[in-house]
Amino acid sequence: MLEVKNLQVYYRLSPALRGVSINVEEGELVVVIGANGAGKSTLIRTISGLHRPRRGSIHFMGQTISRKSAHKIVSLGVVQVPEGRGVFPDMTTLENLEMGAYLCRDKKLIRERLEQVYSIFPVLKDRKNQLAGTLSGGEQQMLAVGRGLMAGPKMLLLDEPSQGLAPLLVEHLAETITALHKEHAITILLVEQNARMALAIADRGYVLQTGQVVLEGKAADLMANESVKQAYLGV
Amino acid sequence: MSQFDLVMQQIVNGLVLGSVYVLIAVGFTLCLGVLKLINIAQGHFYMLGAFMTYQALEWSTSINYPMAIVIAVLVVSFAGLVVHYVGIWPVQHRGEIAPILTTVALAFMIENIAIIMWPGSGRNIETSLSNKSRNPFGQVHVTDQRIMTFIAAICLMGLLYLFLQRTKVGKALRATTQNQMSASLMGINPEYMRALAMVLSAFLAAAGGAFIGPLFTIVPNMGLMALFKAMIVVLIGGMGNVPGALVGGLVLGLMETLIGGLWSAAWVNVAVFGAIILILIVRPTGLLGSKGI
Repeated sequence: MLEVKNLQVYYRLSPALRGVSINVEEGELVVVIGANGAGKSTLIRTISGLHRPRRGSIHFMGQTISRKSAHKIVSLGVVQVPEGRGVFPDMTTLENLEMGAYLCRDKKLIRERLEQVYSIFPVLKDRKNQLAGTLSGGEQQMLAVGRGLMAGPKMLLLDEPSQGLAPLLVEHLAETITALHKEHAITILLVEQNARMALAIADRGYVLQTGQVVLEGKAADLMANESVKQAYLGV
Repeated sequence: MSQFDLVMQQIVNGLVLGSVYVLIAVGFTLCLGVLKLINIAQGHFYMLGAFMTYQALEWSTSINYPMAIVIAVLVVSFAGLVVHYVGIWPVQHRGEIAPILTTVALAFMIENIAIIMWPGSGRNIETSLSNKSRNPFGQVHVTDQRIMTFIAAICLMGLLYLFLQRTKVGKALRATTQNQMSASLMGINPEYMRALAMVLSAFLAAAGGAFIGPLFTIVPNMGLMALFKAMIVVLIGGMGNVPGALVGGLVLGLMETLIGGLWSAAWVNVAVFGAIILILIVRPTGLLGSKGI
């Protein structure tokens, strides 16, 4: 579904990605793990069109999206839940969710998706008229994911969703992502600093280090890998 | 006239003046919020709105005041679109200073074009409303024109509110103000939002000029002062804060007429601009807090 080939991305003169290639097949849950500064967020942002690669290509369902602008890429079904939630703070929870469905013209479909999001995250329904900026970190994360789902994504990109969340909430997040993957059959590319959580729920994974993929494989294999265990699982 | 009537008269006049300040200021604050731009030409859209209204009435006797307002507003809104794509869009990624300088240059250009097109010591817009006066209470008198100015401005603000709160595009505009990156991740085209904000700003300022033009002699250099007034309103109301601009505009209008009418007209600007300096010291982003629209 998603093919990233030899992506090279620079911020001004510094290289952030030095030739990264990853694949995500339809229906998979793939994770990219790595330390701070490894280039994980850069990868997601470039796929989403927030940043232009210098070299390399990105293909989604056969279409080249490497140089498309962000709002066009969303219309193709690639939806990102940004790092740090990125909710609209002075709009209500409901308005935030409505913005997620911005490209959808079908009012009935929007209402259906809204009901679905409410069933996955009941707290969003409780707080639907509350300003998003006043929600707690965990609630904002749910809102950000729910907002992403409102777009009816073909593929969901999650940029470090566990960031700033208490351990209990991280668990809940992991369960939610698994449910989205298994029950709702959404293809997911998850970028995470929390390798333990990420590898526990993924099908496959890539390990990113200073802008390069140093290891890839099935999640279970990566979890058993000695260097991964030492570097990222704190074992 | 009794003291009470005097105060009431100033309040009435202040609300009329303030309602137009609101329109100009909301446009200015939209540019700040969506385009992150200090639009130095904002007051000049107001000035053009007034002059285009005058000109439309001059063109033909079959054009009446409401029609002239529509023509003026449409022309200036289109000018706003042109300004955006010719002046702002090419430099928008070249840092923060370049677009502001562009608006400065545009302001001077527009002012000089106005001086060429309407030479002399100003113009007076004659409408059928100017001469009828009413006494709503006591000795306070207000012309129909003033009433119309106020009501029109308030109605326009109401429409803007509905647009921003109830329509999809309006909400997208608000979202873009609050988090442009997230907005683009929803599929909202940031370019369209920026152009829309500019056109809307020009529209509102032009409407303000068209509504209040008949109340005094309009001159091409009134744009700059209008800009300063808009900046004060935004400082009171908060940067990017549309409801704040409503409060700020009315407060400023009232301040000006009350100080000018009850104390001294000469000190009005000293007092008002002195207040700006104070506000900047205390709360640089605006008294009522800068927030998303």
